[in-house]
Amino acid sequence: MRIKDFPEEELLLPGNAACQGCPSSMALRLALKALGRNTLLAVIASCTSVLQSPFPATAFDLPVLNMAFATGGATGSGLAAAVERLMKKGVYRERPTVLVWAGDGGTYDIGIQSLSGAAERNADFIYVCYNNEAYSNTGTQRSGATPYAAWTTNTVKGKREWRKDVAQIMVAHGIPYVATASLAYPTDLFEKFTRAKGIRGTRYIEILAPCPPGWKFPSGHTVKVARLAVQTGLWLLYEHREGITTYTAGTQRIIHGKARRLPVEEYLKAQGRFRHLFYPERDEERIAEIQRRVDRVFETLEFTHRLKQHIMDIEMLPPR
Amino acid sequence: MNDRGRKKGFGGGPAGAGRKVTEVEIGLLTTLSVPARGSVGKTGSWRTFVPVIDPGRCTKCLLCWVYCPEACVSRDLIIDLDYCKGCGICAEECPRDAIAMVKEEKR
Amino acid sequence: MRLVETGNHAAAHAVRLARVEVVSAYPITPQTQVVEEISRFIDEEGYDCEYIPVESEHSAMAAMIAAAAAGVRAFSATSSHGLAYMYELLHWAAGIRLPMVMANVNRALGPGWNIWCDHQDAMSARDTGWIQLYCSTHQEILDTVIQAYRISEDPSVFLPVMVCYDAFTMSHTYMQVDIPEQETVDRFLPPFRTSWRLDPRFPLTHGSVIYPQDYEETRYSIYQAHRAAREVIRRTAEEYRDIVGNYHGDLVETYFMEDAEHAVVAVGTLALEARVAAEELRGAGYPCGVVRIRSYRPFPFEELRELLGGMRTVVVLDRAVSFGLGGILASEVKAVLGGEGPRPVSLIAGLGGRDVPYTLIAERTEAAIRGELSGEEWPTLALNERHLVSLRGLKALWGGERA
Repeated sequence: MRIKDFPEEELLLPGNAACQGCPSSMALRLALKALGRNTLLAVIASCTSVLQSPFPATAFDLPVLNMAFATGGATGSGLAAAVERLMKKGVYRERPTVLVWAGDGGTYDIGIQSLSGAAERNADFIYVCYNNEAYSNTGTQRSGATPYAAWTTNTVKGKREWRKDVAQIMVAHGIPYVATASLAYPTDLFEKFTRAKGIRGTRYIEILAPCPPGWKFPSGHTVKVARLAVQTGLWLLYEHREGITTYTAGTQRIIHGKARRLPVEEYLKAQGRFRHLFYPERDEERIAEIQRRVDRVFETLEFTHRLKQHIMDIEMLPPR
Repeated sequence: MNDRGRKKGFGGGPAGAGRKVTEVEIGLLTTLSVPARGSVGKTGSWRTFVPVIDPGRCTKCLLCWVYCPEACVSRDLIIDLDYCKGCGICAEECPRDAIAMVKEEKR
Repeated sequence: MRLVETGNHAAAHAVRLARVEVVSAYPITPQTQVVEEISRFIDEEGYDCEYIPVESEHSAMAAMIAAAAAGVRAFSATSSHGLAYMYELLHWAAGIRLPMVMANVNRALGPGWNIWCDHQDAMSARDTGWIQLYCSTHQEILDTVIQAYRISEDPSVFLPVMVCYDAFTMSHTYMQVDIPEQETVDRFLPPFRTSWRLDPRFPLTHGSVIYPQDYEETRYSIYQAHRAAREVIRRTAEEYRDIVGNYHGDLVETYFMEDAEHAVVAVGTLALEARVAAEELRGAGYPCGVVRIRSYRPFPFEELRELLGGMRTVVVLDRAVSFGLGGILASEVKAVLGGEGPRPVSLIAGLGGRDVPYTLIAERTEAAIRGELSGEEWPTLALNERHLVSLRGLKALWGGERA
C-alpha cells in the first residue's frame, strides 16, 4: 500500500474542536480511511468525545455512539450482537465494521474489565486504544499507560511506576488480532487496519498518540515525537496473529540491523514532560534506567531474530 | 448567555438559530448531531503561522496530505485556510522543506 | 397454555414472546433464573436471540444500550447491587431515548449480604428517567414485560422501562401462569419501532458535548415523555386486555375503593397483603380499600389525588427509606395530596425481606383509623438481644477488651 493509494474520502471533517496537532484526529482520519464509510463508531469518553464538536453539529461523517467511560468492550459487544441480528434480517447488505475508539484511561484503567470480558467472548469488533499516556481530556493526569519518570499534573516529579502493557494483555487473551501502530508510519498503520477489517472476532489495535499540550512539545512535532518513540525502541511496532508476533516498520528495521536504534535521550529531550530529567541537572540514574530497560528488550528481540536467521541458514544448506 | 455554538459555524438547524420553536415541532429531543464542516466554526482563526507551499521544491509525495490532522490539505496540495489551525505538522514533516510556516498578518 | 412457573420464568417467557433480539445480563440472586431460562430457550427451544453473557451489570446495561442504538429490541435483568452498579448507565439509557426493557427483582442492598425483598434498589433509581412498573403476581410479570415494550416503543415515550417484582415471594415461588400464544402477542406487539438508530447511510452522532444553552431542553423532553407515558400506560393496559385478555390495572390497581373511607397505599406483594388486611377490617366494620401503585414512574398523581382526596384515613406502606426524610412512597403521597384531605400515616416495614403479615397491617391501619397512630412508624422493627451481642463487640473494640 502506498500513500498515493489511500482513499480520498474524509470521514472526520475539518473545523472541529481538536487541539492543533492532535494525534487522535490524525489517527482517526487514517483509521477511517482504511475502514471506510460502512462503519459503526463508538466513542468512549476521552478527548475524542470533545474533538468531534458540540451539539448539534458533529465532525464525524459516520454514525457515532458516544458512551460512558468504562463501557468500551460492552458497547462493542452490544453493537456486534445487533449487527449479527440485522445481518440475519437482511437490514444490511454488507456487514458494517464495528469500531470502538477509546483512550488509554478508558482502556488501561477504568475500561479494562469491560475490554477483557469482550475479548474473552471474542465479540466481533475492532477496539482501538489511542494511547496518549495520560488523562489528557481532564488536563493530563497519570494513567496506567503513563511511562516511568513522565511528568503529569499528579506526578509532578515524574511517575514512579513503570507503565503496564495492555497490548500484551490482549495477546494473552488469545484474540485473533493484536497490533500496535504509530502515526509516523502511516502505511504500516493503514495496512494493520485493513488486515483487522478482514478478520472476525475481537481485534485490538493500539496507537501511540503523542499529545502536544499533554507531553509539552510544539504542535508541529506530533509525528516527529511518534517517530522518535519507535526509533529509540520505547514504542514497539508489531502485529500478533495466530500465536505469532511479527515486528513491523521501524521496529523491524532496528531488529534486522537495518537501522540504528537511537538513544532514549533523543526522545525524552523532545518533550517537556521529561524536562526534569535534564534540568536543572541531568538525572543520570533515571535516564540510564530507562535506557537499560529498552536495551534488555532489544537484546532479546535481536537475539531471537539472529537465532531464527541461523536456523534458516542451516535449513537451507544442501543435505550431506 | 453563551451563544458560541449558535453564532459560529453551525447554526440552530435548518429552522435557523433565533426562531423559537414549539414543543409540537420538537417532539423527541436528544443529543443527536448532524455532520458539518466547521462544526465549531472557522478554525482558521486559531492560527498564528500559516503554511505556504513552494511549488518549485514540492515533489507531490503527499505526506502533508496524509499527516494533516485536520484534513485541510487536498490531494492537489491546496490548503483550506478556512479551517487550517496552523499546527505546523506539514512543514515539519515535508521531506523537501517545501512548506514554510509564515507569521500571519491578522485579518 | 397454562403452566405453573416461577416469577422469574414468567419474565423469561415474556422476553421470548416479545421476540427480543439481544439479551445482555449478568447473574445475581434472585434474578439469575430469568437469564438461565432465556439461555435455555435459545439452546434448547430454538428461540432466535443473541445472548451476551457480559462480565458485569455495568457492561450488561452498556451492551443493551448499544444493541438498542444499532436498532434491535433488547432486554436485560438485574437486582439490587447489580442495579446499583448500573447507575451511571441508567441515566445514559434514559437520556439516549431508545426503547428497551429491563426486569429488576427488588432486593435489599448491602452491607450485610441480604438477598431478600426490599424496594430500596429501584426506588433509589427513581430519578434516572426510567419508567418503573411494579408487579404483584406472576401473571402480571409476564403481561407487564410484554406491555413494557409497547410503552417503551411508543413514539410519544421512547424511554426505557423497568419491570420490578419482589425477591423470592415472586421471583422464586411457583404460581399458575397463562402463557399466551405467539400469534396473540404478535397482534398486540408490532415489530420493533425505535426513535433513531446508527445507520451508515444516515450518519448521525449521538451524545457528544452539549452546552448549557441546549442541555436543559433535552431534559425537558424526558420530562414531557413521562407526562405522555401516563396516557400510554393506560391505553396499553386496555389494549392488552382486549387482545390478550389479562388486566392488572393501569397506573394503579384498586381493591374495594368504591365505597372506602380508609385506604392503604402500597406496591408489589405488600399491596396484596394489604388487600387481605382490608377484608379483615371490612369484617370489623371499617370500610377500607387498597390502592396498589403499578406505575411508580410516571407517578400516578392524578389517580392518587382522585382516590385519596376524600379519604378519612390514608396509610402508606414503604419497603424502602429515604434516609434523612422518611418513607419514600409516603412522602410522595403527601406531596400529591398537598394540604388537602387526610394527613397520610407512614409505615416503614419489611426491610430486607422481613415478613409483613396482613394481621399487622390490619392492626396498624385500625390504629390509624381510630386516631391512635399518626405520623410515622416502623411496625416490624424488633430490636432485641441479638443486636446487643453485636453492640458488645463494638464496646470491646473501643474499650480495648476482647468480646
